[in-house]
Amino acid sequence: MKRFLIKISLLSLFVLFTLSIIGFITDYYLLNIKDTQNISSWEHCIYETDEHDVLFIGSSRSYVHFNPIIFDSIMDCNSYNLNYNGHGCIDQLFKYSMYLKNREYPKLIIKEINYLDFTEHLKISRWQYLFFLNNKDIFEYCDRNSIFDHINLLKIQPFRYSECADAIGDIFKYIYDGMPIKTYDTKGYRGVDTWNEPWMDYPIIEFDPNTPSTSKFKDFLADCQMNDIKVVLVFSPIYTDDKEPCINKEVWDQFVTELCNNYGCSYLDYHINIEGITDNKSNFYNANHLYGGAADMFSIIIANEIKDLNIYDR
Amino acid sequence: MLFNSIEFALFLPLVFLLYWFVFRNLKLQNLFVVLISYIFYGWWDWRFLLLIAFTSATTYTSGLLIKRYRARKRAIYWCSATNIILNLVILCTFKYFNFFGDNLYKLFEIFGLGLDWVTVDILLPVGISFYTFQALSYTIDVYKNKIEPTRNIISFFAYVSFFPQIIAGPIERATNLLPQFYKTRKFDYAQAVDGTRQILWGLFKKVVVADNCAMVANQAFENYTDASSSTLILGAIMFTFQIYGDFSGYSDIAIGTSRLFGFNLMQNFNYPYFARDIAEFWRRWHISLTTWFRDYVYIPLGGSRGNKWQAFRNTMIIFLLSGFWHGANWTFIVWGAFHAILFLPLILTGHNRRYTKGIVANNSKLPSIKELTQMLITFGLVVMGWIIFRAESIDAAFQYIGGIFDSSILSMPMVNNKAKSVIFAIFLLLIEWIGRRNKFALEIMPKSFALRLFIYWCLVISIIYLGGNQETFIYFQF
Repeated sequence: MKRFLIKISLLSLFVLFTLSIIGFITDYYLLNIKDTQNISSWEHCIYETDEHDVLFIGSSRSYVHFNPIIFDSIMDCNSYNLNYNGHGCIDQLFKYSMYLKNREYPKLIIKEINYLDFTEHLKISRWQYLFFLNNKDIFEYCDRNSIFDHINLLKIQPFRYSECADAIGDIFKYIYDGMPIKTYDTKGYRGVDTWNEPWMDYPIIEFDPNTPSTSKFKDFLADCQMNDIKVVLVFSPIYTDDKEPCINKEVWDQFVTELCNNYGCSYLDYHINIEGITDNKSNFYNANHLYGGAADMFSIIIANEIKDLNIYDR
Repeated sequence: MLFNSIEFALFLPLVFLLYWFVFRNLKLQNLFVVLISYIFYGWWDWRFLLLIAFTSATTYTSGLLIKRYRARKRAIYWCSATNIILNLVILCTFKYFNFFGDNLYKLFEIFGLGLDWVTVDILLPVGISFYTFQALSYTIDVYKNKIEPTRNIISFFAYVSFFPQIIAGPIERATNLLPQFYKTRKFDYAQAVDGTRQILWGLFKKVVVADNCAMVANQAFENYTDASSSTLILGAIMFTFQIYGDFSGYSDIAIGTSRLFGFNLMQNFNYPYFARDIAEFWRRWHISLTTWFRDYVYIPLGGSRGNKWQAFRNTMIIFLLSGFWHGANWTFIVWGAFHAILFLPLILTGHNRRYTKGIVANNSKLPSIKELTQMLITFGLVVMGWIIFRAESIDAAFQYIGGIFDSSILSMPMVNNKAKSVIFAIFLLLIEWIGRRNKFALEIMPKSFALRLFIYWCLVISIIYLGGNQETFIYFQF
């Protein structure tokens, strides 16, 4: 028995030691690569107090589609891209609530919406939370939404990445591919010039207008209306060879119309049939995301259109 | 409490130390086994405990009554029949009530008759099929005088509720497990090391292989109407590995855990995907259930005696029952029938007992071309069966299979995590192939201590870092 217990203990210690080493190396790399967008974006959201009068809210599509520099120059505003990489509407609104903890309401919100925005929580890139689990709100949010299976364990360093080996995978990818290019990384926006992951098609979607996400989204719009924040909903480009991927588009249209009528927001639909953008596959690095050059073209179009709406006055 | 949970990672060492250091006396040890088994089982829902206690009490009492009235054949017949019926009624109530109700409702509808039917949302107690069958085997064995009824109530309760295998088997026979509660158990170093290794391998199969394959399989089965042929094929193959990694992984953890406590459970899987025909597959897949049906249904029905059609009829009955055992859904029944039909040519040609001993390529490293072809054909048929098993309905299964025969077969499968899952599935196959002559793939290890330590380290690190999304064991629902 003694021999058995000694050997089991030795193996356990050896494993713990390895986990600690891997954990510290991963921490070191991730925290030093500020360009790993998610961490710097959260740091900015939680710890900074800078105010913005135009805010972009959305998923990674917002992250790579709206260039605040272009909006600032066309609309004469101070905008910021508060995206939530890899996540759906509920998560985006949570990040917005975190943003508001240190700041005033913006005057205008440009919310990127799309068919996938109102589906369930995604666990992609969830390691972005790991560095912020000491923040009570983030911890409770992750716990409430079961983003991790063993959240308490993840607070302890040896086990920090036990559910997120993709974080370690990212480190290897950075080491192998080199650091990501920083050219477009500004005000929360990151344009992408090169992409080395396989192309992913846009799925065929049946839109459900009655999900927890849509209901939460309506609450958000009601809150904006109450606080006199103008909201523009933008469906930014997707690549589907200009074919409609939603099998019940009329339900989506009705949903958006109701939102506009009930909450006084505007809707700009640019998802397909946009000449020069959605008809050219080379503008996209996958069906959901534009390359930086095309995103800048799109930002110019949208900024001008919003300016023409005359809903923003600095 | 899942085997792949933090709770179990804390529970197991704690009960292991208490079991060997505090409760050294046999009676206390058995009492402790009952206590921890009830805590383990009650972790899901304490109300389940009432049911298992009731099943244990009635089965124990029936055993005593049979012993008392042994000389009166009619009395012991009714005594065992009553207990069997009682257990089956409980099982059917909790597992099949709504299935029968819904089908009866639909049947009446066909004849234009409205039935004022109320669907009752009955909670399905985890593992009910497993421990009910274990209890049934005791009653039948006692009736047939294969085992002496026990007076020791603690041992009997421990036998029915033994925590490593209560949720998903192996379905133990009283003839094997119950006597182990009568003997003083001593800690055996070799057995404990073997058990720990089997737990590690089981966890690897579940957490790394099954949970990763599940991510691909789920995507394919959830989007089967739009997915390409190649995606559907990959999804079906990944489900084939998922269910194997999941269920055999559970069995390995159960057997390994039992060995830590000085118990030996029966082998539940014996490399089924290396089978050369369907008959061999069923001798290697879920052995405890297959042999249960063989001993308590197939043989009493006449087995393979009589003509070939009688043998096929009996085979069809046990496969339909086996399908039905898995759950209240037509997909399981059709899956059972599908396998029975695959058996038909083997029975007709008298080849159903061709591969009863040894494993493929027993004396060589690689299989012959003929063996490889046989294995691939069998594997293909098994995959087809799993599509029916996994699909939400018969319609969905046929649509899924129909979708496979499409021109998009040469396209790239459109699912996330495919590379990782395929690598893990191939790794599993490779290790199992190397270790196929052993009771479990890692039973025999290199003699070098450093190499052994390295293998264990790799397994633990993989389990911690490479696991897929934590999925409940598939067989918990059965």
